[in-house]
Amino acid sequence: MTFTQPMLISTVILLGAYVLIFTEKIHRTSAAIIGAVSMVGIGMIFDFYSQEEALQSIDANTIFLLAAMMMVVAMLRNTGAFEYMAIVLSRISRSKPKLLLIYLCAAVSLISMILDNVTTVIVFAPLTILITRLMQLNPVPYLVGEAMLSNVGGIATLVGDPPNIMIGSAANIDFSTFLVHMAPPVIVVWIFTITFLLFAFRKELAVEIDDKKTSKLDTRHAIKDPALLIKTMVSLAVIIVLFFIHHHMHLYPSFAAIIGLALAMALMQPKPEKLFGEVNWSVLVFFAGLFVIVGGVEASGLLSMLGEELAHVAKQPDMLLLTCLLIMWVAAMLSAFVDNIPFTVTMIPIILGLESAGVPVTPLWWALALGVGLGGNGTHIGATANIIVMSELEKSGIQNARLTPMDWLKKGLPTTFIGLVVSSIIFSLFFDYFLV
Amino acid sequence: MKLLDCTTSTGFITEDMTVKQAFAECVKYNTPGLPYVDKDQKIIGRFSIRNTFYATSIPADLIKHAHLLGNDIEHLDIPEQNVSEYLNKPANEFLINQILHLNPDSQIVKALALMEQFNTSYLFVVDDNDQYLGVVTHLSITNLLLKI
Repeated sequence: MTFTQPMLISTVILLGAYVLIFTEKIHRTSAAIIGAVSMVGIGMIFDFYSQEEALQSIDANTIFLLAAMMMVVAMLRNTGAFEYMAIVLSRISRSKPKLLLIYLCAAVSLISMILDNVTTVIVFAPLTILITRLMQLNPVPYLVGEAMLSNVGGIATLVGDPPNIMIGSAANIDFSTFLVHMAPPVIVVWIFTITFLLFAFRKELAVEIDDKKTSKLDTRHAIKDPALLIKTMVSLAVIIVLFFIHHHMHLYPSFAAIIGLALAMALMQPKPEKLFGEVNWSVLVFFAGLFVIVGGVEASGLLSMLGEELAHVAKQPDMLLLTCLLIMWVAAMLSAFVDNIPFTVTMIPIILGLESAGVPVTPLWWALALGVGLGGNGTHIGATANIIVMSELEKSGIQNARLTPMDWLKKGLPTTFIGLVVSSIIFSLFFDYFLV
Repeated sequence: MKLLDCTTSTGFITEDMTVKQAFAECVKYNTPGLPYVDKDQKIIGRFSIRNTFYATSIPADLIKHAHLLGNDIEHLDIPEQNVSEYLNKPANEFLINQILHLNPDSQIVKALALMEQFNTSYLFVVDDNDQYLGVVTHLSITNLLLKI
């Protein structure tokens, strides 16, 4: 297969759009729209991409799943359930700083497995600052831990992180299969990460707290509307149950989420304009734009050619594990510094191309999910959750709670490195498990 | 009802004033904020008690979760040391550039609507020659209404 003119043109448009996205010269959504329009327009002129192909390249399952979950989260967020949980955790930690860190991080990780981790951190971060303020503790270990472990928790499920949704949708991986394969490495990485954080922040956490400093937040005012909370929890429970059985019922994960959303709307009857206002349309349009851009590159035949070239290497049984580890580490390194979504969207058709060439690609999907997820912890810009906690710490006005990008790097790079080493060892030792 | 009937003449906050002096001026004229003037007596901004408290004493996390604070919390009071520290700061550190003003011929309902729109409880009254005439507040409007 030779390198053709459409391949060159589509590559230039892709690189142009990615440069705009990564340099943040203009907003990433604007960059994605400009890139998508350029790709379709030029693709039509050079006859390698059509409007129909562009529309078909947008993964509706991903977009609808994200939109539905954003609305459900918006409803849950207004109930005060997260606040209640955080206060209870601060109480059962019995004024022990290390226990508080473990409990809060565990809660954030678990929530991030089902709900958007950005929302989780947006709710938990200011509350954690208040709890630590009341207990006269340094909030930095707690917020850094929450951001990092929400990123780790999100790797475990199909819906925990947008790249996972894209991978699951493209590879037709169901929720249970994703959980069964990703949960074991994520649990081990979680244990290693929290252990590292306890060590890295040992000075900040070595504080004795007397009873007067114990968090005295009032749980009675946390739940704003108990009836609303019950209705939201019922809807969320339906979604979670449907996630576990969607493949048996031949339902897309997005449809499972939409069923739960419809139930929530029927039970709570929220004002639609307010609910739809809670959806982060900018993110969804950004994803749609990327799908169209990468769809153009795919239509040019470039990604198939890359897939065929890589297939020669990956087809050899000994090289498949190496290819997985390479994808994991490269994905992590890139995701630490740039948005992991464009990388994931670009990698998906390449891996699908490998599949067409007869390569058993299942472990490559797991490697990609682990890499893009773990890489986010590396730098303060690696994940949106990191940026949120940096901003919340700055807003807190607490003197020793400032966190510079270099401070993050000192904790983030070892965390990512530990996560990758642990994942690589698990991957290598139990490679057969990840093959099916 | 004329807006001028509920306008209170006040002084200004000047460049050489501290926060303590600015607070005292606000208390003296019973207003939540006063105009800030430069050397040429030109209004270049405003000093607001609420904004100063917000900037010095109430962190965002506290505001967001104020309803969760128990009544038995003792150590969250504004420490006296902090108070004396910011009271001695120059008032211009808390200057707000946005100046909300209206003409003395305006209807009272316009004043109330503007206060709602900008989430404030006071507005400056300035005539066509940019002459400052005073401040109108929710309280001064209420006072006028009670006289009807």
